[in-house]
Order: sequence, then structure tokens, then C-alpha cells
Amino acid sequence: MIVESLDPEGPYGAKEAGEGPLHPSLPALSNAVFDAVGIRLRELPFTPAKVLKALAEKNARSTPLAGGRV
Amino acid sequence: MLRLPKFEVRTPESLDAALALLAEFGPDARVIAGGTDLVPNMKHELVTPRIVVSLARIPELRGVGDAGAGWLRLGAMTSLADVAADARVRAQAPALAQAAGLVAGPQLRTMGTLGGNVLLDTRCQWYNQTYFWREALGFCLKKDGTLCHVVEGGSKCVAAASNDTAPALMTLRAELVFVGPQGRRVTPIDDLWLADGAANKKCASDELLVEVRLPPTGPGHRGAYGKLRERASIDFPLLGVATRIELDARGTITDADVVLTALQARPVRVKRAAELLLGVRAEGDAFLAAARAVADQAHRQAHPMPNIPGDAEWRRAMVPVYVRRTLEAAARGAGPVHAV
Repeated sequence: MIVESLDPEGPYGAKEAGEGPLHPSLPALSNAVFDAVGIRLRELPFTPAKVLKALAEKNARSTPLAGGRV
Repeated sequence: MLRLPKFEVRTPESLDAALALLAEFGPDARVIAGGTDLVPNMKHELVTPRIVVSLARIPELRGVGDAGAGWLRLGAMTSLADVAADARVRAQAPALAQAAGLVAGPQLRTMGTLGGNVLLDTRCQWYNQTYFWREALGFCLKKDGTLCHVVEGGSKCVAAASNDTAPALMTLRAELVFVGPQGRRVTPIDDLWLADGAANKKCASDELLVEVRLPPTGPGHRGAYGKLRERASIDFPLLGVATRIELDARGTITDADVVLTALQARPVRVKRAAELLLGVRAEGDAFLAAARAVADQAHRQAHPMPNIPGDAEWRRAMVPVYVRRTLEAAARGAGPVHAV
């Protein structure tokens, strides 16, 4: 797709097209994780391992004696 | 793009002809079954055979059949897709059917074979890389080098057994039939393994795995397979759990087995699993408590290393979860356990 434009911020007037749509969606995913389990992930990808680690850190902060149950 | 190095393909039409080629070319020859592991490994120059011996034109190596006295024979060249779909395998060995059905993705299961999966090379994130990548790090213990990048100062390779079907076959007490220059030999799959990631199988390069045999199971047999991975549609296991439970007519457990894979160089049995489950009815709170005891034991035993992708702490934390869920699935006659 070519859109004729002149972006004064871009090099040689070039206009980006890929980054913009990403800006709102990734924070939305981060918010969804926060909404679900109360942890804030700030680095992609949001893997199960990172979620588990953040949950463990959160639990350690709130209830120092909480043990994991399988 | 990675190129395949030059090689020559031979397509023998009998077992004897295949064995003769292996004897003739020795270390210059490699066997190709489905090629789903060999071909990428050749592109990475992990193996550089001059002669590739294809088993595709030996029909007796393919298919599932009756081996007498209730045993099933599965030809080593039977595709993983066929193993997963076979009605006899699903009835007699549900854990194997489930494990075969979770190997990689559909295309790879169509090409990949049961024999190939049993004999799959161990994997490591420092090994399954291009020649250029490995050379840049000075290679590693498993291939061309003297350093282990997983365990600093390590002198023994810790590449992980990554075959989904192996732990299932171990719980089923399967036997493997090899044919070599000295004739046929039959070995329980438990005796195949060595605790060395560089070469984790007792199998000579001039031998061929021709058949996997499954002993009969009764109506009280239950089995399931659980697999942890980051992408549900493909990927080697980050953890594999095979379970087997035998029930008597009243639903009481008379025998049990749990085997884990993708943690270390060989699949490992969870100690005391049978003892902890014996005499328990396979339902309700007593069963859940027993399953948790086995899960705790597995957790104590399992020490995943950063040898394969996936956070090692996460993999360890998932061991008791997958052991418990896979035992529960077996008890319900369900499975596989596979949530991403």
C-alpha cells in the first residue's frame, strides 16, 4: 500500500506504517494480564514463565509464608 | 538460507541390503527414516554423511500388526500420525497414541516415524544451531568442542532427551527389536538409555531399529501423556510426562508408573510412583492426595537445566502440575494434558 504523504518528522519525508498500530495493542495486552492476575509485565513476549515469575514475586511481597501448592 | 551439504542417497529394497550398505560405508553412512530430524541436522552440519540410506522402500518396516499373545508390533517406519490414529494402539496403549499425536505438528507427524522418534538425537540450545553459530562460540562438548555452555566447567554433555514417545513406551514396558550384523536382538526400552547427552543410546551405528513391541494390556489399563511447550502447534517438549495406571475390577490401583522426559540426557522414572499409588481407588480425594504425593516426588527429582529453550525455573515449576494432571487424566481415561 502506498499513501502519498510527506511526514516532516521522517527521514526524506518518509512516513512509518508498521509501528503505529502496535502502540495501543501491546499495552492493552499488558493491561489484560494485569486485569486477570494483578501483575504488570513490561517486556515482550509475555510468556508463561514470565507470568509465573511475576506472580511468585507478587506473592512473596504480600504473603511471605505462602507456599506453592501443586 | 541453509543449504544441505552434498550427499548420495541409497534406497535398498530389503533389510539385508540396508545392513550391507551400513556395513560398507560405516561412519560415512546415516539412515534416513522420515528425515524430520536428520535433514535439519545435516543443514546445521551436526551430521555430515556422504551416504544417506533410505528405509522408505522396505515395506516390512511399516505398519501396526499383531505379534501374538496379545502383543502389538509397530514397524519402526510407521509414521507418528499412523501410530496416533491406530485404533489398536489407542485401545492398548493410550499414552503412546497421545504422545505420538503431540510430536511436532501434522506435517512432521506424517513424515516422522516412530523409530525415528525413539532414536531421536538429544537436543540443546547450544547444539541445535548452524555451523557458523557453533563455531563462533568455540563449539561444545556434544560436537567438535570441549566446553559445555550449559554447565560451566561441565565434563558431561547434558543435552536433553526430547522424544515424546520414549517415556510413554517406558511406562508400557515396550521392547525394541534391532537387526545388525550379529542378527536380531530384543531389548526392553528401559535398557536403551545412557545418561550422556553426547550419545544417550546403546545402539550401534550398523544396527537398525526395525520394530517396537507392546505387551498386552487389560481392561484396567489407563495411560496418558502430558506435554509442556511454548507453541501448541509445533515444538519439542520442554517437559514430557507419561503415566500408566492399572486398575482391578473395583477400580483400585494395582500398579502405576510415571516417566518424565526433556529434563536431562535420558527419560527418567519418578521414584516410588507405584508405591505411592498402590491400593488407592482411582478417584476422589484419596487419589488426588496420592497423585500429589507422586507430583511432589517428581518435583524433588527433577532439575531442569538451561539446556533447551524455555525458562528452567518455569519448567521445574510445571513438573508437579503436569505429573498430577497427567495422572488424573489417566485415571479418567482421558488425556492428553496439553494446555498452552
